[in-house]
Amino acid sequence: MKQAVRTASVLLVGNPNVGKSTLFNALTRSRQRVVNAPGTTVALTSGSWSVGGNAVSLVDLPGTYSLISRSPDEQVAADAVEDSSHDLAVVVLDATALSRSLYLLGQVAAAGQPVVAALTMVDLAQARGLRPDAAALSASLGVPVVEVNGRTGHGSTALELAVAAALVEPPTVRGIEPDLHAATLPDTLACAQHLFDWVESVTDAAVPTGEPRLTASDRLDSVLLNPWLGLPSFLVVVWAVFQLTTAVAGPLMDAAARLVGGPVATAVSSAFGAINAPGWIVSFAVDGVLAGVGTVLSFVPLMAIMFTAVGALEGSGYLARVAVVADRSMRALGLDGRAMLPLIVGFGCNVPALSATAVLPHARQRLLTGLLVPLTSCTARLAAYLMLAHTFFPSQAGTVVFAMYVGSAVLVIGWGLIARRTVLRDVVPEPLIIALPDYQSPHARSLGMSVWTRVSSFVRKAGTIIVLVVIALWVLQAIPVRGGHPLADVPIEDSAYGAVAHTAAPGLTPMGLNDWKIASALVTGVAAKEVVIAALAQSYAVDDAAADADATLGQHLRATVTQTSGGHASAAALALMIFTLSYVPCMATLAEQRRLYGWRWTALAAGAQFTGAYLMATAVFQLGRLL
Amino acid sequence: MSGVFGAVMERLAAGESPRAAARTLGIPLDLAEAVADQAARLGLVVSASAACGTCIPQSSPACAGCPLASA
Repeated sequence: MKQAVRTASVLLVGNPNVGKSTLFNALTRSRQRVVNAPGTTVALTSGSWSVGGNAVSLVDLPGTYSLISRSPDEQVAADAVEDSSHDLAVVVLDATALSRSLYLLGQVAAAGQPVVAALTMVDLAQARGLRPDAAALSASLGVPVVEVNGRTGHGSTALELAVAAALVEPPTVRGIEPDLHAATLPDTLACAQHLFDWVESVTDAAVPTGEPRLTASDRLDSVLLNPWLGLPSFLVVVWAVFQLTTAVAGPLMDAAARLVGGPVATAVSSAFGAINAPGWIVSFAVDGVLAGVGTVLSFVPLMAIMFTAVGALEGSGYLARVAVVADRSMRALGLDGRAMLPLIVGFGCNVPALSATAVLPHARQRLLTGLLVPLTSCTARLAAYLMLAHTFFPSQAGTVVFAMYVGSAVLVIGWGLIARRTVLRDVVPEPLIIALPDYQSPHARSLGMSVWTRVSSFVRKAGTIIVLVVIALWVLQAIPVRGGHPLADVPIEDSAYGAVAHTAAPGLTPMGLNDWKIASALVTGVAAKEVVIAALAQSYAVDDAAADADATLGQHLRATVTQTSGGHASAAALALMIFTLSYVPCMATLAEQRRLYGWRWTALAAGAQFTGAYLMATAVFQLGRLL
Repeated sequence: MSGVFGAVMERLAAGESPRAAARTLGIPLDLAEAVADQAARLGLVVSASAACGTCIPQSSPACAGCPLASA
């Protein structure tokens, strides 16, 4: 009886972008087919390769740096290497990054696969001053190492001969125990340590390298990551960002607000007048929709400048350094350094920051960080700071806004310390270990694209919320609750909105802010912090008692606060900014906190935050008016 | 942690980049990068962008104002 001859199966394994697929094409030419890996949608290419006159099946595995996978593609590569039905693995080594390639080779050998190595990128390595030596490497590894070039076909025959011999007498890698399996994390860690020591010994023996040079990144880090200079440097950078933002965005925000509130509003009113539209429709269009659109447009310059500045810091690699610098300060206080990444995201928006707490390994660490996230001052609050700072502290607006961010950091640390010493004593601080990228110049085109995407996204998404909330406020202001007024022709104090605002306003008296318009803006801000300024603008727009209809929002607000504070407008404005910073998270943040931690923790944190904000704002006003 | 793996981890924990760690320890850069990568796979190291990308500004209104979200 004739017995079927089994086709040998050879795996082609390597890091991404090492020329593995080019080599695969050179070896198999057109004899290829694409199939899905078993049980997955990951495409695998296999081909027929003539080795010593016999056809072998060559499988081009997805590129990976490790057999501990992070993606479905990498898992397919890891599963194939673990599968003992294959006869041999050809591991492609990148001569420009040999250590990294050798680590994968060590893992393949430890999985029990016989190995032949193909050394690629030799010309590139030589151009960089490296001197990879295939013979020395082979002697050190104990397996054949063949120098190949998939583009020219150089080394294909030598590789074929090496594989033919290896299929007859499978070679094993010197210094690696096959079937070195790790079931637990300590085992895996021990394996990794053993393999890296092995890689170092091989490269020491076979790959002479030059003296490492001090790079510009290293020099910059010696200052920016210096334990004494790192934090002051960061504060200077942040201060400069806010100086830039307030100097450039402030006037542009005013101009946008004046344009929409002046000529555009007049034109819209005239257009409705020309068609004899009812008064309530004109009021809805101008005081409702147009007021909302004007607020959104006035935020655009601010957002564009902030996104550009933060995008440039992020693109340069500096933002990651901030996490390291802040980590040291946090650990010095007994807080968890790993919490820095989500907290930094919180300065953008609190909601994704709560999701970002997933990077923390322990539930109690995630809880502590998640409760602190709402104290980080998101960009939505920035619009309120900027308007208030421009109105009440025009010559130091940048410094005042900067102080709000410092205040936010102080609140995070303060509340963190209180929580660690009371309700979350069992949280064990762990250091942040981060793989820092090198510094690089932000790419102007990608930065521009990123800013455009984010600003347009803000206008579309946050703008929709602002306009809808402003329209909802207009409706509440049009509904009479006393006085027998007709719908949409109601003095504000007799409307549903006015009734709520007038009830809440006396609570702000200790801060020097007993005014219904301010109270209603703060209540509205619970929905979303972006609408605090929009709500104020709309209240002044519909308030018949506002003395000067042509005055800007800032002028209206200054007049109001001067009156409510008994002449201590600066102290009351500062109290308002501090209260806005931390009085209560927005609805989306509260909902996400409830989902992650439950009602009890969410209510406890929100209550503590509100109480703290109230006491601080009161203290600031009461002390400020004495000065 | 011991050996070259432990040494690189110590440098990363001290706030060095893989490049700076390689220079300090006199080892090839790609060896330090491989240690950082493997440690990240084991959950011992976080990448600089680990906390970003947790929202999609185009689809979530709450993320629209975040300058750190992946655009």
